[in-house]
Order: sequence, then C-alpha cells, then structure tokens
Amino acid sequence: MGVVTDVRPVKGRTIFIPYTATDSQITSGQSMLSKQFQCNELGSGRCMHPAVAASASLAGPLEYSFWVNGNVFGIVYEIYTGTAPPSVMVDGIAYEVPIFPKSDPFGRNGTILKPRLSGAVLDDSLGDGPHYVEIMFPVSTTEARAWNIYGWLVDENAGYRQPTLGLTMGITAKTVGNAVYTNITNDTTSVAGTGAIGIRKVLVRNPTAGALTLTLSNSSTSAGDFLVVSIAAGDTYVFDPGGLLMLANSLYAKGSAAGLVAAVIEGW
Amino acid sequence: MTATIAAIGDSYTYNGTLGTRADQFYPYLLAKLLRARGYNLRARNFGRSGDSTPMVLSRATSVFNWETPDMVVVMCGINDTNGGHFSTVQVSPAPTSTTCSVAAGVGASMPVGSHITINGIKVVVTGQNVDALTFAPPYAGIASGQNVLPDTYANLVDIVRTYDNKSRPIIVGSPYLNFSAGGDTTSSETGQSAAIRAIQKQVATDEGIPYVDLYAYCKARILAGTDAQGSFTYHVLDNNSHPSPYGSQVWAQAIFDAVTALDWY
Repeated sequence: MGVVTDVRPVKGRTIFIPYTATDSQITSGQSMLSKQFQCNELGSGRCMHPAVAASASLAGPLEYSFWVNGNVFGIVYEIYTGTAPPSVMVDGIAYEVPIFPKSDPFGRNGTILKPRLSGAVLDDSLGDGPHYVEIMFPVSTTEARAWNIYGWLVDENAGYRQPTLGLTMGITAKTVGNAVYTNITNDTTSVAGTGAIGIRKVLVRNPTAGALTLTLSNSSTSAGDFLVVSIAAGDTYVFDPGGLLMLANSLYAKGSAAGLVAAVIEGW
Repeated sequence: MTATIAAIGDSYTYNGTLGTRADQFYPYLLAKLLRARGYNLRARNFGRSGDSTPMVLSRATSVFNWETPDMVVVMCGINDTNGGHFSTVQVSPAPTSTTCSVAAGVGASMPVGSHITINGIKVVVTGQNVDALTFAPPYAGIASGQNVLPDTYANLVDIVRTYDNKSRPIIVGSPYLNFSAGGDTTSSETGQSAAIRAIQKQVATDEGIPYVDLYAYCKARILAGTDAQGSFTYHVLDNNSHPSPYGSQVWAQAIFDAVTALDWY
C-alpha cells in the first residue's frame, strides 16, 4: 500500500503586523517619514508615510525593500494624496495593488473620506520563504502623491505574532510651555499627527522644585481644556484614559510655569 | 501548479524610477494576456536598470533561482553603447597582451565571463578587479587609447544558450523610439537602434530562436493609424526611451502575438 505525503507548506492564519519603525528611503530626493498617531480600524497607531512630489522629469521616486517569511503577503494602506497605488513585487512577481475607492458605488452617500481599513492580501501561496518584497512609490509628472502604509498582512505560521492590546510606542518627550499651549503630539523625526489620532497614555514629569499645574487641551486655546491637575515636585503624572483617546487633531499641554516634560504614548 | 515565464534585461524590462509600476511593465502584462488565453502562469521580472549585455550575461542563470521558467524573454543590448559601459584602454597601468585598465567605473560592467572587443578584437574577460581587466586570448597589438566595447553579439549568444534545452528563449528587439523628433520613423531607424537590432536579429537567426521585431510591430501600428508617429505615447517622456504603461502594453501584445503564432501558447 502506498503512502501519500503532502509536502505543501502549511499556511497559518493571516495576521496584521502594524508598521512601527521610522525608516529612511532607499532612493534619494523624497521624504519617507513615519506618521505617528495615525490610527486606523486595525488599531495601528503609526504608519509609514512615503511622499513624492510631482516632477516633470519623473525624478525622486521612493523604493522600500525587505524580506518576509511565510506563505502570505499583503499590504494595509490608503492613498493619502494622488491617485496611484504603490507598486509591489514579491520575488520578482508583480501584483496589482487594489485601490480602495473613496466613492460610493451606489451613488447614495457621496464621497467616503477615509477608507482606513484597506488591506489587500496579494498572495497567500508564496511558500515558506524567505521572500523578497520590493515596494516602489511612483512619481507622476502631474500630481503629488503620498500614501499611509499601516502595516503588512503575513502568515502566522512563519512565526509572526499579531500584537495584542498594550503595544505602545512613545515619542520624544517635549518640554511643556509656561502658560503657553504646546503641541505634544508631534515629533521632529515624524510627520505631525493630523486628522484623528489615538493616544494611549500621557506621562508628565515635574522635575522642578515646586508643584506645577498641568493643563491638557485638544486645542491651542483654553476652549479645548479637558484636564487640569497639580503635579508635585519630582512626581510623574500618568493620564490613562483606559483605552485609546481619540482626538480630531493634536493634543496640547500647558504648564503653570516652565519645566514640565510630557511624553505621549501611542498604541492600541 | 502555476507555471512561470521569465523576462530578463535592462530598464526596458523593469525600471523603478520613472513612474511605471511593476504591474505596468511588459512581463506582467504578457503573463496577463496569456492567463486570459487560459494559461495558468505568471511572470518573474529579472530586469535591472542600466544593465549591458555583459551584466545580463553575468546573472543569466538567476532565472533558475526559483524554478525553471517555461519561457525566457531576453531584451537587452541598448546599454552596450551608452556611457559607462565602454571605454578606451587606459594609459596607466600600461596594458599588456592579457591585461588592461578601463575608465573608472567601467570595469564593473565587464564582469568575468563577459565578451568584449579591444580594438575590434574579440576577447573574454577572465579577471576583473575594479577597473583592471584580465582577458583571453592574448592580444599582442593592444595599445592605450584603443576602444574597449561590449561584444553584444557574443554576449547575447551566451545568454540565450543559457536557456536552450531548459526553457524556451525568445529575443525581443530594441523598441521603436516614437519621439517627437530625433527618434525612429516609419522610413528610418536611428543609427544606435538599427545597429543593436541588427545584432539582436542576427543572434536569433544564428541560434534558431524566435525574434520579436518591435520596430516592425510598432511601425505597422503607426502606418495603420493605430498610433501616431511622434506622439511619444510609447514612452514615459518625450525623448526618453523607457516605456510608458501604454508602451509596455504594446510590447506585451507584440510578444503575445509572436508566441501564440509560434503555437507556444
């Protein structure tokens, strides 16, 4: 009696790995920034934000390459500016990356503003790997383009683990202004958070010799003040909303005197 | 099981810097046409921008790194006459009958195993250290100032022979340059393109493999009124030979027409 052996790689669950790093472009001329606090329905708190300017000579594209294991590869992204999807090849095989339209196919409701749940599995039978992924962000002669890349869809059986609640990423601590509203949700290494942002916690330290009052606001004026608290000398105050605090724009902080240092924790 | 076709060449096969996506280059589009005909296959792109025929030859076997492709489309040669891929014999260090130096940076485009000519004499590179070349057979008449050029014919022959008896190679000729001025016309080819096409066609004839005449294909479209002469719609920019998505579509169709006429698919 013969024995039948199935040698095909066993594919696991398709899971989402959020983008978390600040990476530089591998072609010169354009900016590859990390846009923090850029929440989406999959819970990614940060996204890669490649941006290319329109160029009559088609100069300055961006390319980004890496290796991935497992049977599955997909991309979770949205078109931020312009009309073109990114270009993706895996092991030299090109894939058509779908564009998730921002229009209503039934003509009932008009324009969809932010389709953030835009995940596309490009291939689910790649084999064990490793596989070489090449992503290119193409330049146009007529339009500026930018994308938000929220993360990747990969094969759990390759050893990847979808982050659970509690993944946090902090930004550089910022000195809070004396009686001046300071935007504490932008970072010189990243694109300033714009649009809806998600904040997991805010840590504020008082390194001075006396108590200071902290004010948190969702605007740069007192009209947005939502929290006022005194922080004793040498203490650290932790503002923990118990989940994601969603704000339309940036988070601001103000101190009753100079010296407070705030760090905002993003995540899900 | 999905079969694969391979496409190897220069920036006509893949170029990540001029606004055309990977799924808009001819290999992907050719595979798409063949899938529409019922064949379960996809294309693996081995194009590399800037490659001359010696550089393509040096990596010709890479098409077998994943599988043995059913067909290999070879499209290269135009960069052999572009700056950076040829030189003159340098004065220092003094050349010998088996060694010479080329201009800074050119050595990398003449890797070991590639065919070159020195003063028209055919030799093979047997050693390469930056811009210092060792070659065989010896050439006693070498002197500084003589031209060192890729031997396009010999390199193309070796490239296609890499695929004989394993895959089905097919050579695609250099494309019709449909510029507003200074390119090909339906009655004349640019000198550079005509020279390369003649070599590509000769290799195909001598090796007994098919040749896709892109110049003739596009010329026929223009004469038929399908495309306009000088419209540069085949290209990403006027006077830039790299294919636009439309140009790649035309090339893919030309190759598709050729392989289906051959009854390969």
